[in-house]
Amino acid sequence: MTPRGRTAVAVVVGVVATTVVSVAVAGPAVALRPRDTVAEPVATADAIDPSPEACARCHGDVVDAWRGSMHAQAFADPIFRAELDPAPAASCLGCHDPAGGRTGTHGVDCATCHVRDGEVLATRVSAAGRRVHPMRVDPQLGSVERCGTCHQFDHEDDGIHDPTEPLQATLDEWRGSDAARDGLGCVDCHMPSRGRARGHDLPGLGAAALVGEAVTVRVRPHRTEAGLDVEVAIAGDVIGHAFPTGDIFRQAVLTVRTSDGAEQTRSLQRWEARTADPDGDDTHVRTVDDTRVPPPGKGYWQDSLSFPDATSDRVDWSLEIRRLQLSVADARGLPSATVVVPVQSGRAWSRP
Amino acid sequence: MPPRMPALWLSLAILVACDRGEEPTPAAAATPSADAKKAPDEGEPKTAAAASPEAKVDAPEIGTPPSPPVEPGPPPEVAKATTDGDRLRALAEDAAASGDASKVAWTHLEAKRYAQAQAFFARATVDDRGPWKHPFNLACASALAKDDEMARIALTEALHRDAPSVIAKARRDADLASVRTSKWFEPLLADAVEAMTDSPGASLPSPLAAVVAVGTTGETPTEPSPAAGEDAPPAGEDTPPAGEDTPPIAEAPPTPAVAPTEEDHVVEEPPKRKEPQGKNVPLAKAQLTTLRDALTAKHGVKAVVKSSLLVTPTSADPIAFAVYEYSQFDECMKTGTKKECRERFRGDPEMAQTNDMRCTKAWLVRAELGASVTLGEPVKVTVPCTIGRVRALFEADVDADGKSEIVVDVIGKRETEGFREGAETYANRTVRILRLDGTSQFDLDVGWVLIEYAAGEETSKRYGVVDDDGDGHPDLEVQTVEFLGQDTIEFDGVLWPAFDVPEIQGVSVQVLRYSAATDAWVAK
Repeated sequence: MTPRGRTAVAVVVGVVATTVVSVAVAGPAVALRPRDTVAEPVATADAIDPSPEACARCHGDVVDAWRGSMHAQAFADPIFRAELDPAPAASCLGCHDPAGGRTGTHGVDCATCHVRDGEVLATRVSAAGRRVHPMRVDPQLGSVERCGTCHQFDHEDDGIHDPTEPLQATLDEWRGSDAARDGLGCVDCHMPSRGRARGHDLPGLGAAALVGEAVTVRVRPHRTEAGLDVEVAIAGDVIGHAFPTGDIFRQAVLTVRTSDGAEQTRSLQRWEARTADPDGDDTHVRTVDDTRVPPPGKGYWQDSLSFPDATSDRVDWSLEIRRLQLSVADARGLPSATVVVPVQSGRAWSRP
Repeated sequence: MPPRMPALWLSLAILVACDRGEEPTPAAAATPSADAKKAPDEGEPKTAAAASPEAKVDAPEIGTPPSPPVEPGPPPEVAKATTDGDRLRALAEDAAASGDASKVAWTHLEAKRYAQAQAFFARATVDDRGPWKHPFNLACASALAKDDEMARIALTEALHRDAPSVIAKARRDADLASVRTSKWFEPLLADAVEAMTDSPGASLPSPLAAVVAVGTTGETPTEPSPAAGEDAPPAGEDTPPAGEDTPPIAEAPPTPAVAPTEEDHVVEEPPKRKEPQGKNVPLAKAQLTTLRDALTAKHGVKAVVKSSLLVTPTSADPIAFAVYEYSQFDECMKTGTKKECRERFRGDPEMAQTNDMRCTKAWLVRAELGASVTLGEPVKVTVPCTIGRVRALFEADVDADGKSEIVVDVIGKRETEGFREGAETYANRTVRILRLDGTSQFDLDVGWVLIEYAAGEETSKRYGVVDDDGDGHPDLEVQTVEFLGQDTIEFDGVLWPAFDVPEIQGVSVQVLRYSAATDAWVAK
C-alpha cells in the first residue's frame, strides 16, 4: 500500500470510529456541550428548508466548497446541457438535476445526499445540529453504494443499446482494484477529510492535481533499422477506477510526435459495436473492447507505435482526457477547450 | 421517361383544406351562405325557407330539421363517457343535418363564426368517413376557435384517414398556427409517422372507431348502431343514417351544379395509389431456430432473423422468406483481432462518419424447410448501416394473376455516436416484389437520401398499386422526386418529403403494366 493509501485508511477508520461514538452518545438523555450561539432553525414542525442558503447559515464553508464542485454544476455543465437541451430526458435529470429547482437551485445539492423523509442525514449527529433540524445517522452516506446510485447504471432499453450492459460502471471498475482491497472508497479521493468534515468540493476531472497523479505514463522510443519504434504503457497510480471512468463517450488520447513532425494517437476508451444478442433474437450495440487504463491491481495498458520514416530519436508525448470527441463537441458548438482535460506530457529519447 | 409535372397532384394539393380551396362552388354560394353573410349577427345559418328563391332551388336545405328517425329504438345505455369520439359526435350534434355540411361549415368559417363552423365540419366528419379534409378543416376551425382539445381530436382523425397528406399540411397551414405550439402537436404527428413507417397502410387509430359504452352492465365497447341516431355508417355502406333525409356524402368530391372553373380549385382526384397489403405468417419458433442455425452455418457468424414469412403451402416442403442480418464486427472477428477489427471499422475516432462498428450486413433469403433447410442464394439488402425497420414481408397477389407474390419492404438506418433519442437516421428503402420461386418481379431502391440535399443530386421514390388505365387490373406507379433546390427537408415514414410534393417540383411518374405472358411488370 502506498503512503497515501495508508493515510486514507487511517482517516476512514477515524471517521468510522467518530461516527460510532456519535451514534452511541446521540440522544436526548445525553447532555452535549452547547454551542455558543444558537443557530436559526431551518426546520419547522413540518419540513426542513433544504436550500443551500439555509444550510449555509451553519455550514457556510461546506456550502462554499460545494458551489465550486461538479455536483453543483451537474445541471449547468455546458457539455451536459449541449446534450440535454435538444431533447430533454427525465432519465438524465434524475442524477443531473435531482434538486430540480425545488430547493432554489439545480444540480446535485445538499439535500440530494443529506435530506430524507424530513431528516438531515449525517455520519454523526450533534446536539447543536438536532436543535436546528431533525437528524439521524446514515451509515451509508458516502458509501460506494450510495455514490453508485448515479455512477453505476445500465443503458436504457432504447432499442439500440444492450440494456443489460452498464453505461457507467465506476463501481464495477473499483471492485477488485487495489483501492477496494485496501478499503478505500470514493470519498477517500473525492471527499478527502478537511478537519472535522469531509471536503465538499468533490475534486474530479476539473482538479488538475488529482487528474495528473491518476496514472503513470511510460514512453520508450527504440531506434530500429526501419525507423523509430515507441513502446508506450500507462498504469493507474492514485486512482480506484478505470481511466477515464464515467460516460461511455469519454476517452483518453495519447499523442506521440517525433521531432521531425510525424504523429500518432491512441484512443483509450470503451469500444462499442452492434453484435448479435446471446440468444440470437436481435442485435444490440454493446461494448466489445475496453482499452482504458484499468485501476491498480487490475493490469495496465500498453501498445507499440512505429514511425518507419522517422529520423529523429526524440519524441514528445501528451495525454489528455476528452469528455466528448472533438468532432461531437464541434457539432454541439462547444469549443474543444471545454471538453479537453490535459493530464500529462513529456519527452523521451531512444537509448542505445 | 423524362420527368413531368403531374398537374393532378398540383391541383390536389390546392384542393386541400383550410385554404380557400374548400370554398363553396358558385352553386353553393347561392345557398344560405350568401344569406348568412348578410346576417352576421345570426348564430345559425338561415333556413331554407328564409333563403332566396334561387337558393331554395339549388341549395341543400340547410338548417331544416331532419326527419324524425324511423323507429329510433331505445336510447343507448351510456353515454356519459367522454372519449374523443364522443366529443366529436357531440359537437356534430350541434349542427343540423344538411345535404352538405362541409359547405355550410365553410360559410360559417368565411363569416368567422368558428363555433358554428366547427359544428358543421364535425357533422361532415362524422357523416362522411372517407375524406381527410373534413376532420382537417374541423381542426382548422377549432384552432381558430381556440378549441385546442377539439383541434387535437380532429387532427387525429385526419391523420387516421390520410397521414401522408395531413402531416405536410398540418405543419404549414396558417389556420393551425395556434395549435402548432401545443404539447400534443408534434408528438401526434410523430406517432402518425411512426405508424406509417411500421407497416404499409397502417395509421393512427380513429377517435371515431369505437364508443366506450359506460352502461350499467359493463359491456364491451361497441359501435353504436345507426338506429340509435348516434352515427352514420362508414362510407361505402348503403344504408343511410337514420334521421337524415340525404345519404352520406361519397368519397368522391360532390358534383357542383355549375361546372367548376380553375378558380374554384375543384378538380378530379387522381386514381388512389396504395401500397399493397397482405398477410404475414411468421415462422414458428422451431422453424425460426432451424433457419437461423442454417444461416449462421452458411455465413459463419451468428445470424439474426429480423422478419420471417411462412408461405402458404403449395408443396410438401414449406417455403419461407426471411430478412436477416449479422454483425460485420462479429464477421471480422472470425479471422481478425479486436484491434484489427476496430481499426477496420472505426478508423479515426474523431471521424464519426467512419464509425462502422455499429453496422450489419443485411440479406433477404428464400428457404425450403424440409427435413433439412435448403437455402436459396441470399440477396443483399442495401442499408446505410443496419436494418431500421422491416415494413413489410408478406404474401399478396399484387398483380391479380391468381398467384401469390412476396412483398418485401425494408428501411435501413444509421445511428450517430450519441446514446440519446433522435440519433437515428432512416435511409435506403428497399422494396422487392418476388415470385414464389424467389425471382424478382419488381425492385425499388431508394438510396441514401440526404436530409440536406443539393440541387440535382438526390432523388427519392415511392410506389403504389393503382388502376391507372381503369381496366380493372392493378398497375404499379412509381413516383420519383428530384430535389431541385437546396434546403433542409423532413421526410415522412417512407422517405418521401413530408410536405406537399409540388413545392419541390420535378416529380416524375412511371406506370408499369402487368404482363401475364411474362409474369412481369413492364413500362407503359
